[in-house]
Formats: sequence, structure tokens, C-alpha cells
Amino acid sequence: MEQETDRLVQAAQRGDQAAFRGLVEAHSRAAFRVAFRVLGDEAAAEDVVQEAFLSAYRKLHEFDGRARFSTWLHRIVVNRAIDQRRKLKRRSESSLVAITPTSAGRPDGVDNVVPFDAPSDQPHPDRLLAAKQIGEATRRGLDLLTSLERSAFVLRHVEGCSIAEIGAVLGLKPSATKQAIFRAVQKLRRTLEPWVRIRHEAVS
Amino acid sequence: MKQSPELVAHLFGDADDPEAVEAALAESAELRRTFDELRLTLELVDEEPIPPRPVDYGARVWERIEGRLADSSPGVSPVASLADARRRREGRTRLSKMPSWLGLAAAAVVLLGAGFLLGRVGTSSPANPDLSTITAENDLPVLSDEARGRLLAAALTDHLGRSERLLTEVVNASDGGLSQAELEQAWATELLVSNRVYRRAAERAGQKRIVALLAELEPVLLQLAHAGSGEEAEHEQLRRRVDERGLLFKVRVTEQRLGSPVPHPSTGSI
Repeated sequence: MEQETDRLVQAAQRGDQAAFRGLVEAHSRAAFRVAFRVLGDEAAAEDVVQEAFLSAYRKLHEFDGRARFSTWLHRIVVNRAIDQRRKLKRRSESSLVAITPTSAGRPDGVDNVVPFDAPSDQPHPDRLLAAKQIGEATRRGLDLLTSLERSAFVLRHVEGCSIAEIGAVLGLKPSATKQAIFRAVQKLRRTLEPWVRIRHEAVS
Repeated sequence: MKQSPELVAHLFGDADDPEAVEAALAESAELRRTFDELRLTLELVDEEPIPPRPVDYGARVWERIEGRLADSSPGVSPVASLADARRRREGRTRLSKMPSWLGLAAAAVVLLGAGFLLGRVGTSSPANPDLSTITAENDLPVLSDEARGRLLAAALTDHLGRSERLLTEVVNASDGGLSQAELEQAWATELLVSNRVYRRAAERAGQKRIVALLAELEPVLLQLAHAGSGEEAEHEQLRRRVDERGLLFKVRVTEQRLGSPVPHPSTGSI
């Protein structure tokens, strides 16, 4: 797959649109996964995927093969997704439901909050609602990361890129890449603290 | 080991010495609790299911973007062979390569220089060429005030969008670390050049509000561009300065007022 991608990238860099089409078809689903993790909205994520590929097409000459094409592409996707999220937030700021933890540590602000520790094997609609709440909290947590932290974390955790690859595309040494991921996970842990505590108590 | 990056790295299987981490976990209940909470954090991040895409999703994406590729054109790759590039892979940092940013700043200078600085000249001299010498045969176009205004608005929207991203980094970075500071420094240096160009252009265009905003932005960019790496106190002072003056909010509002932001071609480079 990697050799085929290299071949397609080189051809696309020479202006072969059919080759770029091959790259789009091979990498769209993974790009969507990354975009959705940041945005939590299917339509917005699909828009970002399209814009990211257009951006990748324009900037293809800058790709020099130090990292995999997918890693380079996903960095573009993450940045586009963050830009899109900021725009969406500005437009709908007044309609967002604030989800804040109560003093007891349970999220409130939403009616009929799910019994959070419902068994995971039950496809309960309330569990889906809880997942949505956590997803939104995660995205708020991602908003608080720097672009380096966010890119490093999403590339490592969502896409499973190696430390070396992430460092190549972000221009960081392995230790700095690990630092960025570490800071990201710490910040996310603080944001998700009420849910982490509830889940920890449930499994202890 | 308590709050060490190695603990998080171990979660991903990236620890330099996994045995050492396991030994530390075996010895400390508190550390095990911390490790569990970090693991649960990652599980929670994955809690929301990702909607699956159909098998032909890639083809659909292609259908939607194919018609727009005509507006874009890939440049020529500087690397003859990707395989060669991998073999020659060096450890140069990302910061040593910012061609798209520099190219944009240079293009902005040329564009704005042609559109604004020359267009505002009244007398003929080597430093101030006569407008009548700028004809259709020449490279420099004759622009109306309206066209210059649109050009300035588009360029400023892009510049303010980049500035907003940098200020957001400054505000979000708590323990930024060396790499973050270096990134911000290089970023700020570039934006500083553009900021000064646009400020002059806005002054000539009589855009007092824009001039005021760019004047307020400039010292922040200057401080970031000269900030010492890892100087946490300095960074904290900058963050307070940005917060207290509501600078990020002002940049966002002005960017929005200028109109829909133009696509940021270099977004993916950072």
C-alpha cells in the first residue's frame, strides 16, 4: 500500500489527476475519521475532508516523503477541522447547551442524563446520548490544546501514526513529540475528569 | 515517573523502557491510579462512535472535488524521488522550512505594493513613479480605489486569521515546552513582517480601525518573535496581555467583519 501511495503521489506531483484521484479514494475514509473526532458532526467532517484534499492538492509539491502521505494529509485534516470548529462555534455560540459537572461530579445541564455506567454491551439510546455528551466534552478539551498538541495526539491516538512519523511531519524530535502527546492527554484528562472519576469508580 | 511523558507513552506502547514503567507501576498504588485514569481518558475519547462511511466514499469525495481542482494546481516536487527522500531523511526541523508563509508574505508585499503604494503616488520621481507610466502593457495593473479596498480586505482577512491562530496558541499553551515556543517565535516573526506591510497599506487607505488593531497587534508579535525559548514567565505575561486587552476577540471580530475568510493555503503546513 505504501509503495503504491508513493507512486501515486509522485505521479500526482507531475500533474496526473487520475493519480490524485487514487489518493483520494484510498485515504478518504481515514481522513473522515480524523475530521469526525475533532468535529463530531458528519456533514461538517465531510466538508473538511473535501477541503483538506483540495488543500493537499495545492500543496502536494511541498510533500517530500519524510513522513507517510497519510500522516501529512491527516495533519491538514486536523487543522482544517479545527478552523471549521471555530467557525461553527462562533455561529452557534448562543445555542450550545452548557454541560458542566455538578458538585457531586456528575454532568448536568442536560435532561435525563444517562446512568453513565450502563453496561457497554447494551445498545441503549441513553448510552448513545452519554457518548455524545462525552464526545462534545472531548472536543472542548481538544479546543484547549495547542495545534502541536492536538495534531500529535490525534495522529497518535486516532490514526495510530508512530512517534517517528509524527515527529517527521511536525518537525519535532521524538522526545518533543512524546511531550506534546503527554500534555494533550493531561489536558484532556482534566476536561473529562468528572467522567473519568465516575468510570474509575464503576470499574474499581 | 509520577507525571512523566513516559507514563503516557507506555499507554501507547511508546515507552523507551517499558520494564521500568511496569516496575514503577508495581511499586506505587498512586501511580497505578494515575495510569488507570489516563487509560480511561483515552477510552472516553473513543466513546463516541464514528459513523461508518460507505465503501465508495472515496469515489464520492472525488466527484465533489474534481471540478474544483481546476482552480488549484500542484507545484513541481523538489524531490526527484520519494524513495530517495526517505533514504536521505534528515533531522531538519519543520521550522527551517516555511516556504508557503514566506511566499505569501512576499506576495502580499508585491500585491499590496503594486495596488496601494504605487497607486497612491501623485508626483513623478524615481521613488514615486508617475501613475501614467503604468499601462496595460506593463506588469503592474492600474487599480481603482474599490479594487484596492477589496484587495486589502482579502489580504487582511487572511492575515488576521493567521494572527488569531497564533494568539489562540499563546492563550492555550500552559506548559508549552521548547518546541511550542520555537514554533510561535517563527510564526510571529513572519506575521510581524506582514503586519507592518498591511498597517502601511491600511494607513494609506485611511482605514483607521484596521490601523489601530494592527498597531495593537504589533507589539505582541514583536514580543513573541523575540521571546526566549522556554521563558515561562515571559509567556505568561504575554498571555495576560492578550487576555486583558481582549486582543483575540478584536482580531476575530475584525476578521469576520472583513468578510468570508479566503482559504488558508498554508494551514496544513503547521
